[in-house]
Amino acid sequence: MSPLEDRLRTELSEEAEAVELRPEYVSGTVQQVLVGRRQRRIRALALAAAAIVIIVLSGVVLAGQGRDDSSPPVIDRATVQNLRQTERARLTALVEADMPAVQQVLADDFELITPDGTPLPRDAYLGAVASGDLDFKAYQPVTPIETRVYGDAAVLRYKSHIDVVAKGTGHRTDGAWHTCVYENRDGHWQIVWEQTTLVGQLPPEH
Amino acid sequence: MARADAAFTEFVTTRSVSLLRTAYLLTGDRHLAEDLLQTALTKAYPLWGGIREPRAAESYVRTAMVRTLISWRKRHSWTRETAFAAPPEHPQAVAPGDDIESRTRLWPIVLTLPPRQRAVVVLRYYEDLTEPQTAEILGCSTGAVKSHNARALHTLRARLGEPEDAWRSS
Repeated sequence: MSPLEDRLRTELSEEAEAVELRPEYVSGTVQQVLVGRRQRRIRALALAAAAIVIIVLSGVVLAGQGRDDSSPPVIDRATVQNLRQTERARLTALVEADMPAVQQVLADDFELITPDGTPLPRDAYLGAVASGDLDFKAYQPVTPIETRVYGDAAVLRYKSHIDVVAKGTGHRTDGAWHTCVYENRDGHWQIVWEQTTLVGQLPPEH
Repeated sequence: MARADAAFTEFVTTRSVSLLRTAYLLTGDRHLAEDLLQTALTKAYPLWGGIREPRAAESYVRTAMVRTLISWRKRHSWTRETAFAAPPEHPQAVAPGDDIESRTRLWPIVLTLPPRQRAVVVLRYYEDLTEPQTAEILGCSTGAVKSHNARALHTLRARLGEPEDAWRSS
Protein backbone atom coordinates (compact mmCIF):
# COMPACT_ATOMS: atom_id res chain seq x y z
CA MET A 1 0.00 0.00 0.00
CA SER A 2 1.62 3.27 -1.14
CA PRO A 3 1.36 6.59 0.73
CA LEU A 4 -0.99 7.81 -2.00
CA GLU A 5 -3.33 4.89 -1.42
CA ASP A 6 -3.19 5.51 2.35
CA ARG A 7 -4.18 9.10 1.78
CA LEU A 8 -7.00 8.04 -0.52
CA ARG A 9 -8.43 5.87 2.25
CA THR A 10 -8.20 8.70 4.76
CA GLU A 11 -9.65 11.43 2.54
CA LEU A 12 -12.49 9.34 1.18
CA SER A 13 -13.49 8.40 4.72
CA GLU A 14 -13.38 12.04 5.80
CA GLU A 15 -15.53 13.14 2.86
CA ALA A 16 -18.01 10.31 3.42
CA GLU A 17 -18.38 10.95 7.14
CA ALA A 18 -19.38 14.53 6.45
CA VAL A 19 -22.50 13.23 4.67
CA GLU A 20 -25.53 12.99 6.92
CA LEU A 21 -28.92 11.51 6.23
CA ARG A 22 -31.87 13.90 6.05
CA PRO A 23 -34.40 12.73 8.66
CA GLU A 24 -37.18 12.45 6.10
CA TYR A 25 -35.10 10.58 3.53
CA VAL A 26 -35.67 7.07 4.87
CA SER A 27 -39.44 7.38 5.28
CA GLY A 28 -39.75 9.14 1.90
CA THR A 29 -37.68 6.50 0.14
CA VAL A 30 -39.52 3.57 1.70
CA GLN A 31 -42.86 5.12 0.83
CA GLN A 32 -41.80 5.93 -2.71
CA VAL A 33 -40.46 2.43 -3.39
CA LEU A 34 -43.34 0.53 -1.77
CA VAL A 35 -46.12 2.77 -3.06
CA GLY A 36 -44.48 3.07 -6.46
CA ARG A 37 -44.27 -0.70 -6.70
CA ARG A 38 -47.95 -1.12 -5.84
CA GLN A 39 -48.93 1.63 -8.24
CA ARG A 40 -46.93 0.05 -11.04
CA ARG A 41 -48.61 -3.28 -10.36
CA ILE A 42 -52.06 -1.69 -10.33
CA ARG A 43 -51.21 0.27 -13.46
CA ALA A 44 -50.00 -2.87 -15.20
CA LEU A 45 -53.22 -4.66 -14.30
CA ALA A 46 -55.27 -1.68 -15.44
CA LEU A 47 -53.35 -1.52 -18.71
CA ALA A 48 -53.82 -5.23 -19.25
CA ALA A 49 -57.56 -4.90 -18.57
CA ALA A 50 -57.76 -1.86 -20.84
CA ALA A 51 -55.93 -3.73 -23.57
CA ILE A 52 -58.36 -6.64 -23.33
CA VAL A 53 -61.32 -4.28 -23.47
CA ILE A 54 -59.86 -2.44 -26.45
CA ILE A 55 -59.19 -5.69 -28.28
CA VAL A 56 -62.71 -6.95 -27.61
CA LEU A 57 -64.32 -3.64 -28.58
CA SER A 58 -62.11 -3.42 -31.63
CA GLY A 59 -63.34 -6.80 -32.78
CA VAL A 60 -67.00 -6.12 -32.09
CA VAL A 61 -67.51 -2.44 -32.75
CA LEU A 62 -64.53 -1.19 -34.68
CA ALA A 63 -64.09 -4.10 -37.05
CA GLY A 64 -62.19 -3.03 -40.10
CA GLN A 65 -61.00 0.20 -38.53
CA GLY A 66 -57.47 1.04 -37.35
CA ARG A 67 -56.44 -0.02 -33.91
CA ASP A 68 -56.44 2.65 -31.19
CA ASP A 69 -52.82 3.15 -30.08
CA SER A 70 -53.51 5.96 -27.66
CA SER A 71 -53.02 3.94 -24.49
CA PRO A 72 -51.78 6.03 -21.57
CA PRO A 73 -48.00 6.10 -21.13
CA VAL A 74 -46.40 4.29 -18.25
CA ILE A 75 -44.42 6.66 -16.04
CA ASP A 76 -41.42 5.02 -14.51
CA ARG A 77 -38.64 6.02 -12.19
CA ALA A 78 -36.16 6.02 -15.05
CA THR A 79 -38.05 8.87 -16.72
CA VAL A 80 -38.05 10.89 -13.52
CA GLN A 81 -34.35 10.27 -12.97
CA ASN A 82 -33.63 11.17 -16.58
CA LEU A 83 -35.44 14.49 -16.17
CA ARG A 84 -33.68 15.33 -12.90
CA GLN A 85 -30.33 14.52 -14.45
CA THR A 86 -31.13 16.62 -17.49
CA GLU A 87 -32.07 19.60 -15.32
CA ARG A 88 -28.95 19.31 -13.18
CA ALA A 89 -26.84 19.02 -16.31
CA ARG A 90 -28.48 22.19 -17.66
CA LEU A 91 -27.51 24.13 -14.55
CA THR A 92 -23.94 22.82 -14.77
CA ALA A 93 -23.76 23.78 -18.44
CA LEU A 94 -24.96 27.30 -17.61
CA VAL A 95 -22.26 27.71 -14.95
CA GLU A 96 -19.62 26.45 -17.37
CA ALA A 97 -21.13 28.50 -20.22
CA ASP A 98 -21.00 25.26 -22.19
CA MET A 99 -23.12 26.59 -25.04
CA PRO A 100 -23.50 23.36 -27.08
CA ALA A 101 -24.80 21.62 -23.97
CA VAL A 102 -27.17 24.48 -23.13
CA GLN A 103 -28.45 24.65 -26.71
CA GLN A 104 -29.08 20.91 -26.72
CA VAL A 105 -31.42 21.05 -23.75
CA LEU A 106 -33.24 24.31 -24.58
CA ALA A 107 -36.21 23.81 -26.91
CA ASP A 108 -36.41 26.08 -29.96
CA ASP A 109 -39.37 27.89 -28.39
CA PHE A 110 -37.84 28.09 -24.91
CA GLU A 111 -38.79 31.10 -22.85
CA LEU A 112 -37.71 32.12 -19.36
CA ILE A 113 -39.85 34.38 -17.22
CA THR A 114 -37.28 36.19 -15.08
CA PRO A 115 -37.89 37.08 -11.42
CA ASP A 116 -38.92 40.63 -12.40
CA GLY A 117 -41.51 39.30 -14.86
CA THR A 118 -39.60 39.80 -18.09
CA PRO A 119 -40.02 37.11 -20.77
CA LEU A 120 -36.58 36.13 -22.07
CA PRO A 121 -36.66 34.11 -25.33
CA ARG A 122 -34.14 31.40 -26.16
CA ASP A 123 -31.84 33.45 -28.40
CA ALA A 124 -31.64 36.33 -25.93
CA TYR A 125 -30.94 33.92 -23.09
CA LEU A 126 -28.25 32.06 -25.02
CA GLY A 127 -26.71 35.33 -26.19
CA ALA A 128 -26.53 36.70 -22.65
CA VAL A 129 -24.84 33.57 -21.33
CA ALA A 130 -22.45 33.25 -24.28
CA SER A 131 -21.38 36.90 -24.07
CA GLY A 132 -20.92 36.79 -20.31
CA ASP A 133 -23.64 39.39 -19.73
CA LEU A 134 -25.28 36.68 -17.65
CA ASP A 135 -22.47 34.96 -15.78
CA PHE A 136 -23.59 32.15 -13.47
CA LYS A 137 -20.91 31.60 -10.81
CA ALA A 138 -22.98 28.90 -9.09
CA TYR A 139 -26.38 27.43 -9.86
CA GLN A 140 -27.54 24.29 -8.12
CA PRO A 141 -30.64 22.76 -6.55
CA VAL A 142 -30.83 22.89 -2.77
CA THR A 143 -34.02 20.83 -2.54
CA PRO A 144 -34.95 17.60 -4.29
CA ILE A 145 -36.26 18.23 -7.80
CA GLU A 146 -39.98 17.45 -7.59
CA THR A 147 -41.01 15.90 -10.87
CA ARG A 148 -44.40 15.15 -12.41
CA VAL A 149 -44.65 13.47 -15.76
CA TYR A 150 -47.67 13.73 -18.04
CA GLY A 151 -46.90 11.63 -21.09
CA ASP A 152 -44.46 13.57 -23.24
CA ALA A 153 -44.58 16.59 -20.94
CA ALA A 154 -43.23 17.04 -17.43
CA VAL A 155 -43.12 19.68 -14.73
CA LEU A 156 -40.09 20.08 -12.47
CA ARG A 157 -40.01 22.26 -9.39
CA TYR A 158 -37.18 22.95 -6.95
CA LYS A 159 -35.41 25.61 -4.97
CA SER A 160 -31.94 26.64 -6.04
CA HIS A 161 -28.97 28.65 -4.92
CA ILE A 162 -27.92 31.12 -7.61
CA ASP A 163 -24.77 33.20 -7.63
CA VAL A 164 -24.87 35.32 -10.77
CA VAL A 165 -23.30 38.46 -12.20
CA ALA A 166 -25.76 40.14 -14.58
CA LYS A 167 -24.83 43.10 -16.74
CA GLY A 168 -26.72 46.13 -15.48
CA THR A 169 -27.82 44.43 -12.28
CA GLY A 170 -24.56 43.44 -10.69
CA HIS A 171 -23.59 40.53 -8.50
CA ARG A 172 -26.45 38.73 -6.77
CA THR A 173 -26.62 35.71 -4.55
CA ASP A 174 -30.15 34.47 -4.09
CA GLY A 175 -32.32 31.54 -3.33
CA ALA A 176 -34.95 31.01 -5.98
CA TRP A 177 -37.83 28.69 -6.81
CA HIS A 178 -38.03 27.32 -10.31
CA THR A 179 -40.91 25.73 -12.17
CA CYS A 180 -39.80 24.18 -15.44
CA VAL A 181 -41.88 22.60 -18.18
CA TYR A 182 -40.12 19.94 -20.21
CA GLU A 183 -41.31 18.20 -23.36
CA ASN A 184 -40.04 14.98 -24.88
CA ARG A 185 -39.16 15.89 -28.46
CA ASP A 186 -37.78 13.22 -30.76
CA GLY A 187 -36.79 11.13 -27.76
CA HIS A 188 -34.99 13.95 -25.92
CA TRP A 189 -36.32 15.93 -22.99
CA GLN A 190 -36.04 19.66 -23.63
CA ILE A 191 -37.03 22.57 -21.43
CA VAL A 192 -39.75 24.74 -22.97
CA TRP A 193 -40.76 27.14 -20.20
CA GLU A 194 -39.07 28.23 -17.01
CA GLN A 195 -40.50 30.49 -14.31
CA THR A 196 -38.18 31.79 -11.59
CA THR A 197 -39.21 33.41 -8.31
CA LEU A 198 -36.60 34.87 -5.97
CA VAL A 199 -36.96 33.92 -2.34
CA GLY A 200 -37.75 36.82 -0.04
CA GLN A 201 -37.98 39.40 -2.83
CA LEU A 202 -40.95 41.66 -3.37
CA PRO A 203 -42.10 42.48 -6.89
CA PRO A 204 -40.39 45.55 -8.34
CA GLU A 205 -42.11 48.89 -7.74
CA HIS A 206 -43.64 50.65 -10.73
CA MET B 1 -45.13 -9.63 0.91
CA ALA B 2 -45.67 -7.91 4.28
CA ARG B 3 -42.57 -9.67 5.64
CA ALA B 4 -40.52 -8.55 2.63
CA ASP B 5 -41.78 -4.98 3.09
CA ALA B 6 -40.80 -5.02 6.76
CA ALA B 7 -37.35 -6.41 5.95
CA PHE B 8 -36.90 -3.83 3.22
CA THR B 9 -37.94 -1.01 5.56
CA GLU B 10 -35.53 -2.19 8.23
CA PHE B 11 -32.74 -2.42 5.68
CA VAL B 12 -33.34 1.11 4.41
CA THR B 13 -33.54 2.42 7.98
CA THR B 14 -30.30 0.81 9.13
CA ARG B 15 -28.15 0.90 6.00
CA SER B 16 -29.08 4.15 4.26
CA VAL B 17 -26.39 6.27 5.90
CA SER B 18 -23.63 3.92 4.83
CA LEU B 19 -24.99 3.48 1.32
CA LEU B 20 -25.65 7.21 0.91
CA ARG B 21 -22.04 7.95 1.78
CA THR B 22 -20.87 5.56 -0.90
CA ALA B 23 -23.32 7.14 -3.33
CA TYR B 24 -21.93 10.57 -2.48
CA LEU B 25 -18.37 9.45 -3.16
CA LEU B 26 -19.50 7.99 -6.48
CA THR B 27 -21.41 11.08 -7.60
CA GLY B 28 -19.78 14.00 -5.79
CA ASP B 29 -23.22 15.54 -5.30
CA ARG B 30 -25.49 15.02 -2.30
CA HIS B 31 -28.80 15.39 -4.12
CA LEU B 32 -27.66 13.13 -6.94
CA ALA B 33 -26.47 10.65 -4.31
CA GLU B 34 -29.96 10.55 -2.81
CA ASP B 35 -31.47 9.95 -6.25
CA LEU B 36 -28.92 7.26 -7.02
CA LEU B 37 -29.57 5.36 -3.79
CA GLN B 38 -33.32 5.62 -4.23
CA THR B 39 -33.06 4.29 -7.77
CA ALA B 40 -30.89 1.39 -6.63
CA LEU B 41 -33.33 0.55 -3.83
CA THR B 42 -36.22 0.66 -6.30
CA LYS B 43 -34.36 -1.80 -8.54
CA ALA B 44 -33.49 -4.04 -5.59
CA TYR B 45 -36.93 -4.13 -3.98
CA PRO B 46 -38.59 -6.69 -6.32
CA LEU B 47 -35.89 -9.20 -5.34
CA TRP B 48 -36.27 -8.60 -1.62
CA GLY B 49 -38.39 -11.64 -0.92
CA GLY B 50 -35.65 -13.88 -2.32
CA ILE B 51 -32.72 -12.28 -0.49
CA ARG B 52 -31.96 -14.19 2.67
CA GLU B 53 -28.66 -12.64 3.71
CA PRO B 54 -28.59 -8.91 4.65
CA ARG B 55 -25.02 -8.66 3.38
CA ALA B 56 -26.15 -9.96 -0.01
CA ALA B 57 -28.86 -7.29 -0.09
CA GLU B 58 -26.33 -4.56 0.59
CA SER B 59 -24.02 -5.92 -2.07
CA TYR B 60 -26.89 -5.98 -4.55
CA VAL B 61 -27.84 -2.38 -3.80
CA ARG B 62 -24.21 -1.27 -4.06
CA THR B 63 -23.91 -3.01 -7.42
CA ALA B 64 -27.12 -1.36 -8.61
CA MET B 65 -25.78 2.04 -7.56
CA VAL B 66 -22.51 1.67 -9.45
CA ARG B 67 -24.07 0.28 -12.62
CA THR B 68 -26.91 2.81 -12.57
CA LEU B 69 -24.45 5.68 -12.23
CA ILE B 70 -22.37 4.42 -15.14
CA SER B 71 -25.49 4.10 -17.30
CA TRP B 72 -26.53 7.65 -16.34
CA ARG B 73 -23.12 8.93 -17.32
CA LYS B 74 -23.32 7.13 -20.66
CA ARG B 75 -26.75 8.61 -21.33
CA HIS B 76 -25.58 12.09 -20.39
CA SER B 77 -22.00 11.95 -21.58
CA TRP B 78 -22.29 15.50 -22.84
CA THR B 79 -22.76 16.77 -19.28
CA ARG B 80 -19.17 15.76 -18.50
CA GLU B 81 -19.12 16.85 -14.85
CA THR B 82 -21.49 17.06 -11.95
CA ALA B 83 -22.21 20.44 -10.37
CA PHE B 84 -20.16 20.93 -7.23
CA ALA B 85 -20.81 23.12 -4.27
CA ALA B 86 -17.48 24.80 -4.89
CA PRO B 87 -15.06 24.66 -7.79
CA PRO B 88 -12.42 21.95 -7.41
CA GLU B 89 -9.18 23.12 -5.95
CA HIS B 90 -6.31 23.35 -8.36
CA PRO B 91 -3.48 21.41 -6.85
CA GLN B 92 -0.10 22.98 -7.15
CA ALA B 93 3.05 21.17 -8.03
CA VAL B 94 4.93 20.12 -4.96
CA ALA B 95 8.59 20.75 -4.57
CA PRO B 96 10.73 17.94 -3.18
CA GLY B 97 10.62 17.98 0.60
CA ASP B 98 7.43 20.00 0.84
CA ASP B 99 4.65 18.83 3.12
CA ILE B 100 2.29 17.45 0.49
CA GLU B 101 -0.38 16.64 3.05
CA SER B 102 -0.89 20.26 4.01
CA ARG B 103 -0.95 21.69 0.47
CA THR B 104 -3.25 19.49 -1.58
CA ARG B 105 -6.30 17.34 -1.21
CA LEU B 106 -7.06 14.32 -3.32
CA TRP B 107 -10.87 14.50 -3.21
CA PRO B 108 -11.22 17.34 -5.76
CA ILE B 109 -9.05 15.34 -8.16
CA VAL B 110 -10.98 12.13 -7.52
CA LEU B 111 -14.11 14.02 -8.62
CA THR B 112 -12.58 14.60 -12.05
CA LEU B 113 -11.88 10.90 -12.70
CA PRO B 114 -14.04 9.08 -15.29
CA PRO B 115 -16.97 7.16 -13.70
CA ARG B 116 -15.42 3.68 -13.83
CA GLN B 117 -12.09 4.84 -12.44
CA ARG B 118 -13.82 6.76 -9.69
CA ALA B 119 -16.00 3.75 -8.89
CA VAL B 120 -12.91 1.55 -8.61
CA VAL B 121 -11.21 4.06 -6.32
CA VAL B 122 -14.29 4.31 -4.08
CA LEU B 123 -14.84 0.55 -3.92
CA ARG B 124 -11.17 -0.28 -3.34
CA TYR B 125 -10.16 2.50 -0.94
CA TYR B 126 -13.42 3.43 0.81
CA GLU B 127 -15.39 0.20 0.76
CA ASP B 128 -12.15 -1.76 1.14
CA LEU B 129 -13.25 -4.37 -1.41
CA THR B 130 -10.84 -6.75 -3.09
CA GLU B 131 -10.14 -6.58 -6.81
CA PRO B 132 -12.40 -9.62 -7.54
CA GLN B 133 -15.24 -8.11 -5.47
CA THR B 134 -14.84 -4.78 -7.28
CA ALA B 135 -14.81 -6.57 -10.63
CA GLU B 136 -18.05 -8.37 -9.76
CA ILE B 137 -19.81 -5.10 -8.91
CA LEU B 138 -18.59 -3.39 -12.09
CA GLY B 139 -19.32 -6.46 -14.20
CA CYS B 140 -15.80 -6.57 -15.61
CA SER B 141 -12.62 -8.62 -15.25
CA THR B 142 -10.13 -8.31 -12.40
CA GLY B 143 -7.60 -7.14 -14.96
CA ALA B 144 -9.87 -4.30 -15.96
CA VAL B 145 -10.18 -3.26 -12.31
CA LYS B 146 -6.38 -3.21 -12.00
CA SER B 147 -6.15 -1.16 -15.15
CA HIS B 148 -8.77 1.38 -13.99
CA ASN B 149 -7.06 1.62 -10.62
CA ALA B 150 -3.62 2.13 -12.13
CA ARG B 151 -4.90 4.83 -14.45
CA ALA B 152 -6.69 6.57 -11.59
CA LEU B 153 -3.56 6.56 -9.42
CA HIS B 154 -1.50 7.78 -12.36
CA THR B 155 -3.92 10.68 -12.86
CA LEU B 156 -3.82 11.55 -9.18
CA ARG B 157 -0.04 11.56 -9.14
CA ALA B 158 0.13 13.60 -12.31
CA ARG B 159 -2.35 16.18 -11.02
CA LEU B 160 -0.37 16.44 -7.81
CA GLY B 161 2.75 17.05 -9.85
CA GLU B 162 4.45 14.09 -8.30
CA PRO B 163 6.77 11.61 -10.04
CA GLU B 164 5.55 8.03 -9.98
CA ASP B 165 8.36 6.89 -7.69
CA ALA B 166 7.61 9.47 -5.01
CA TRP B 167 4.44 7.65 -4.01
CA ARG B 168 5.70 4.13 -4.02
CA SER B 169 6.09 2.47 -0.68
CA SER B 170 9.65 1.94 0.33
